[in-house]
Amino acid sequence: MAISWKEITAQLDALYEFDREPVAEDKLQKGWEFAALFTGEHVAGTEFVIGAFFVLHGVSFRDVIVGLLLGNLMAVLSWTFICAPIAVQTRLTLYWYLRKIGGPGLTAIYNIANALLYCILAGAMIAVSATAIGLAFHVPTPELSDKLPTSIGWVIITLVTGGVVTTVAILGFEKLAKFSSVCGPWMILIFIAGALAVFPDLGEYHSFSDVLNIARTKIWTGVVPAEAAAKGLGKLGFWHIVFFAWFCNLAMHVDLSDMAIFRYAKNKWYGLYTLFGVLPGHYVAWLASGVMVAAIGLQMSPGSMAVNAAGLAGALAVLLAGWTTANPTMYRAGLAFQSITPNWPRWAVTLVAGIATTIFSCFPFFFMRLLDFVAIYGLILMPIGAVVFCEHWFFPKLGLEQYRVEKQGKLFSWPAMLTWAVTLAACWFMPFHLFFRWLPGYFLAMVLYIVLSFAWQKFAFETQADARTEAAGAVK
Amino acid sequence: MNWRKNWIDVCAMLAMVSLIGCIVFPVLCFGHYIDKAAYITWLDWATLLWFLTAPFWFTPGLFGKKFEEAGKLAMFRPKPKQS
Repeated sequence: MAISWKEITAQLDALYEFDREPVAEDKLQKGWEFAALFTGEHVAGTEFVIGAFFVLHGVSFRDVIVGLLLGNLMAVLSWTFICAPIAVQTRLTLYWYLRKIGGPGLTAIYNIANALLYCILAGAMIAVSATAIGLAFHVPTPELSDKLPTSIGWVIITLVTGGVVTTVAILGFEKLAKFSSVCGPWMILIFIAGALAVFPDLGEYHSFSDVLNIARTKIWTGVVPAEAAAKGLGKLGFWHIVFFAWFCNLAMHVDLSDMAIFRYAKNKWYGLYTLFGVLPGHYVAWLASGVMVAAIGLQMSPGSMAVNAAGLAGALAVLLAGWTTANPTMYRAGLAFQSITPNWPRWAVTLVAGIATTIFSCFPFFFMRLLDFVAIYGLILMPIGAVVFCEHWFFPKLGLEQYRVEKQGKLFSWPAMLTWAVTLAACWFMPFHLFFRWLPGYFLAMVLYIVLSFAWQKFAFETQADARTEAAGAVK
Repeated sequence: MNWRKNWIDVCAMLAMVSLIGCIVFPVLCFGHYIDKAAYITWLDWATLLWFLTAPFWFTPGLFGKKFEEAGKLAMFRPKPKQS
């Protein structure tokens, strides 16, 4: 039976009803609570892969050290000056704010797109966990160039891992979510421990300059290793690293997902607390995984890297890092899918999201092309961030009417829909590296949305004026 | 005496010790004071200690209502907001 847009949006509204009202003053959180939240959130299983990929892409020592610092700084500033101010002013989640701006129909499409992307991301995390389990059963990790499942053993391990993750997500999401907070401090130390302990394997050192020399000549050499180059991996330079560090959480800052968190902040400066997440997760952990992959001869297998560097504790870290982050990701995907499955119980929706995630995890393509997928993930949702930003800040200054869709009770904002579609099409054809496309795309989306909104509002005004003139003529 | 509160306090201290272990042994390995096999053994023990104790410290509520209440009085846990 076909489901109408109105049914879908009504179902979504019911799901998110609990956070419909703006956050009250007495519910605002303290700074350290934000620091703890971000620290736990940004150390995930995928950090084992991302830092290792930088090494395989031939990033130089200077580029990785300075590039990551600058990129992470840009990310923190994006949280502070783009996401947090809107969240603090509105005290709403992106879901409810986008509903006022883009209409319930556009919000539903956004949610479904987000859910599919979440499933792929969770699938990559499960694949990371599977590399650790595979070691125990002598199942080789797929090669860098592999796109399809490489062996029956890999398929069985990813299916079983995905099945267990899904079952736990169905039976006790909340308990596992609480348990995952236990893993945070230990996990970041395992990254640091692993990198320190394998350093002697990379060469002799007696001074700090020897250590730097090993980092420059054995880890971040600035040259793509021959084996990686043969499998199609290209060189990444300084600006690639800056942009990657900046956009890897694009969905959260520029695309405004973290409005859900910052609506509890006392002021916009709480955005700076994200530093507690990105510094350990997207700086220290990425550098550490680079050291670990160099120590196993540049073999892209998070399980092997971690076991070589930290033994059983390392294997457990890979397993838990993948699992504990796949779990909430799958939960969010299920929540979004619930909108198109009216009257389905929570467990059934999570099961569907889990099956989709598990199938994605079998395909090494998503895990071996993680850097590109992260870029595409941010890119797809980016125009919506630009639309919300424009409507919030520029519309009052330009004399445009805000929240017109909500006032008129419309299902879709056509300027927003067109902006989304045209921006993505333009990004597809941009002649730059994938990592750089989101930024010009973001400005393009802002210009498009303003121009289209002008046209829409003016056209609607003139149409109404014409109708009034015609009506007056008819009366005469 | 609330033994649960004391239990959470002891667990918190042991968990902190395990975290210190997780960083001290790799530093010793990096400085060539212990070999990698010894470091891995110590790291595994520190990890075991962490997962036996940290859940009581971080998430006492997982062990029941009484632990959750005791957690509010424990030393190294955030205190509830005063209204």
